[in-house]
Amino acid sequence: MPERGNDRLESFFKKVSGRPDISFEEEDWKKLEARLDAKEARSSVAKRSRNRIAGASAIAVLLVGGLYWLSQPSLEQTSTGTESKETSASASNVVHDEPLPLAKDLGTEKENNSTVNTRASNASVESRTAANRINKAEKRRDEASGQNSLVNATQRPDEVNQPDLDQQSAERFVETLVAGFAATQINDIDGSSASEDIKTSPATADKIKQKADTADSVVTEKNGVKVIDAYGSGLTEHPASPRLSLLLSFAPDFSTVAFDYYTDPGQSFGLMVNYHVKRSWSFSAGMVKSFKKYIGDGDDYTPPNDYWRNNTNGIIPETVNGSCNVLEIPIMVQYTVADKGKNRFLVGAGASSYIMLNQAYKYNFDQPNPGAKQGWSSHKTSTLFFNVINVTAGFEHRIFPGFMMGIEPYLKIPIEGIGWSDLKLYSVGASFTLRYIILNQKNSAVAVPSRGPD
Amino acid sequence: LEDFTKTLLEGCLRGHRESQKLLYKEFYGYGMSISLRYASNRDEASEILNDAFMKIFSNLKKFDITRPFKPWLRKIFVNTAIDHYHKKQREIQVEDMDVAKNESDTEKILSGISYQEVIGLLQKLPPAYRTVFNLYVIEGYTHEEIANLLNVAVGTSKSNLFKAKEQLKILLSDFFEKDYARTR
Repeated sequence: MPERGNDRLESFFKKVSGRPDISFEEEDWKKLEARLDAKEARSSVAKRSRNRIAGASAIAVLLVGGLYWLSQPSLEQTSTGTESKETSASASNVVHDEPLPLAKDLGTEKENNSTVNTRASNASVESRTAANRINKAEKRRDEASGQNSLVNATQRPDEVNQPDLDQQSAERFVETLVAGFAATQINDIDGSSASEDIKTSPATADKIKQKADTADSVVTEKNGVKVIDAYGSGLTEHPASPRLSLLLSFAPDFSTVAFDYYTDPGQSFGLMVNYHVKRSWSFSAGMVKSFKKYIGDGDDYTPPNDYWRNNTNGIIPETVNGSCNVLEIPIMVQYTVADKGKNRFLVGAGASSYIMLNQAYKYNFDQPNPGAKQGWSSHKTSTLFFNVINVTAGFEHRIFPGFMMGIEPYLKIPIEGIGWSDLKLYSVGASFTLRYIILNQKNSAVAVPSRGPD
Repeated sequence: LEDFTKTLLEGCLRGHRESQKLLYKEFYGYGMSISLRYASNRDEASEILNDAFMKIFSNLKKFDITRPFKPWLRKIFVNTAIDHYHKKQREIQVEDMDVAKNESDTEKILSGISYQEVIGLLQKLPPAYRTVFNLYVIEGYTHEEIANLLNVAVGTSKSNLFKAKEQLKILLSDFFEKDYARTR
């Protein structure tokens, strides 16, 4: 075999090939232009699909946001609440000067207003009454130096057994009751205030509970502590916080390889166990079985070395339709952003392990490709640990005691390729969820009047 | 990169059709010269050319616009031609042709033949021979590289090159004999 370059034949062909004498053919361009147009049309379809997905995601987020917004008190109710809170603050300022006849008032209220109305209009009247009372108290501020303080009144042995009930607690207590007359909400009670407020004596708690019962109140719990809506406003509802719950989910699952193409949605069914370590924080784990469908450019797939060469005459398919059944094992951390009445708004993040149960691919060539394989499929199971990041946001509504229904948009981001073709498969969707609360958080039947002024 | 080519590439990146056409026209001759050497006929060369340009337009965003464009273009054309070779490999039965026993004098054939005629001769070679010949002689690949690209043994690559050359000698000889007869 002659050495490279020593052959005159080689030199000749090299020389000739370097002097091409080729004129442009418009016909060739027209053929290419037709293909470019076709590709553009496909891209346009893909773009529309992408817009549809983006639209559906936006709708899901808006839906969740809307449901959350709807779960908030109305403007009127909020306004009344604000007014009452202000009143409460004022009340706390004057409480030392005006020994409000707490027990008497309670009794009077109980007798005269045994059907304490839960409506905001009545609350407003009550609020004004309370405000008048406070104004009068302010006027008599200078005259009241010799009067007993409310602290003393509230520390009567028949009402208060707790010896260390301090003045501040008394203030808060009275504030709560004044605010209660005004039918305000106590939905801003947080863990710290609750823990402080539970120092209220059992006798006081009984009193409040009695009042609450009369006023058609709701006795619930927060941070493991029973919260008594003593105001009977009906505006505040504190459902039991779940400790352990089961979550069933179903979702139309949109999967894509590179956000270029979308196909009909697959499906996803899941069963998760959720454990609340705190009221706001919870962990969940479970199993989700998903049927995923996707389309990608042939270049997006990375099959084993020489696969295309050995099986498709070296031609990489224009597009590849893929589908797979995946068993997903997610481990999630969730945070309850808001918990208002029957509604909860939560966000979550975590990672999933994927068990690929089976997969199938169909190749699409833009030109006939005789002898090439048309696809590939496998039932071989493969597992990848924590290779997908999950991000979710959800809204849940209590439909029955112990049952919550919700919607939870999600995004699954791969951190490494899965399957035979080492595919980075993104998934978006919105799960419809049904939560069954197996176990509520530990009850502490202590009355929580309200949070005091900070 | 020339300013004109750079401007065209920027237009192509934006999907501007006129820029695509101008780029196509600009590199049509170059691309076709590569395609013709690998193809069996002009139609196939046109197919390779357009496939390569489709790849170029689709993957232009991967190309570093500050680097020379022509080597990248050439690589895509050669790879596309090899893709076509694989595609055709199953369609065409390669017929063994008798290797000429007598070496003709190559000196006399090095002049008096046009580019189109040379390409015509190359296209008469079986695809396996032609592809190896092009990759080895024109593109400068080694037999190991060719073997890897075409998924054949190194020995097959060497053998195909040898056969390609022998066959080209015969074809050239025939060409000049006919030419001589015509002009006589």
